[in-house]
Amino acid sequence: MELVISVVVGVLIVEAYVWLPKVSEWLIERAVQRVRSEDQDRCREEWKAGLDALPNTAIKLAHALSYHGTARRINADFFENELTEINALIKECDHKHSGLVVRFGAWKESLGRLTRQWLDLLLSRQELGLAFSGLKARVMEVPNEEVASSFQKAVTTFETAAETFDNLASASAFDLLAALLTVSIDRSTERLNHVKGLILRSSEKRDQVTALLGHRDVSPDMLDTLLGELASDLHTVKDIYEDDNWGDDDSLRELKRIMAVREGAERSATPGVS
Amino acid sequence: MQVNFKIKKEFSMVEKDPRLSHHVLRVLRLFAAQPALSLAGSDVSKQTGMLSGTIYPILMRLERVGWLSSQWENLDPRDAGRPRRRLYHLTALGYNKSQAAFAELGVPNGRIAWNS
Repeated sequence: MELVISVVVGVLIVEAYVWLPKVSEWLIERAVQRVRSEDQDRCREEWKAGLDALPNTAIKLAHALSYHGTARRINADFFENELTEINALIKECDHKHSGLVVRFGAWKESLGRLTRQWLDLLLSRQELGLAFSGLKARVMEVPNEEVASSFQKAVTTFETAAETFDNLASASAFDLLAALLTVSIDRSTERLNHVKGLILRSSEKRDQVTALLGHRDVSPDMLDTLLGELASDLHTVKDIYEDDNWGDDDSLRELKRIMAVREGAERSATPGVS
Repeated sequence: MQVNFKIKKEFSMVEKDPRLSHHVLRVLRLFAAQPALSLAGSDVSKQTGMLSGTIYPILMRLERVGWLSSQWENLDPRDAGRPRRRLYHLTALGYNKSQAAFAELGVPNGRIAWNS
């Protein structure tokens, strides 16, 4: 009986040693299949070579069993890094958005200030015009030729300055530019709000992908694809923010130039009134 | 879109530093002790006593952050009678980072007092 048991045990041991290498290889292949497709060929060749370098079947089996959580750790490292980059992209887009919001605020304030100054300038031009019309009428009544001549010179100076004032900086040019800038700011604001919506949707998608990490039924390749699409969307959003065509700096500069010309012309005309 | 993301990945090789667990430190210590040497995963396993399933994620992680680089052995498996191995070696960045880590932890050459 003991002899039979010994023989059976011996046969089982021999059979086990025949099958153990196949079990080890199966365990490794199972681990490889759970890694991203991109890494599978390399992992398969590398891990099998590592197994081949081990001294005996039992040790090979022990090492093969240790691959049980390897794919999960490799994938977790990879996706953690990808999510870090995506979070950095979202943060960068948020920062650019904030910068543009501040810039638009500054434009609107400048436009408001310029418009108020422009209206003041038009008003003072009208008042000045009325004042000199009054003076012009009085010049005719002054008996003293010398005084009348001085008044006449002042009136002529004003009329020349007023003509320059009106020719160099027309009200219609200012009004048109102000209107264009207003439209530009409004359109850019609308576009900015749309882009902000894209960032919010990307953030939600990022949260959904994060929730999928670690799910057994979700393949690493599918996660890779989702993260790839998300990163690509964010790069597109980032490019939109870096587009120079936000608002209209040129129109604002031109408005300021017109304003400066008018102010200069008014200053030239003003000394004639005393 | 997938192509763009892959291109982006090529330019983002430098990533945040990896977590320096006990196992990672042991692997770094091995490479830092002989920085000019190239080691396969099986060599690392043999010299540290750690199992392969623990070693390879660490090697891949360190490679991803640029502390190690790797290449296939230059041999013909048929002539050598064995499969080719992937050999890792410590980069300059990896050497500097590991030395800095050892210094910060107060462990000369990465040798942890309770496991020396």
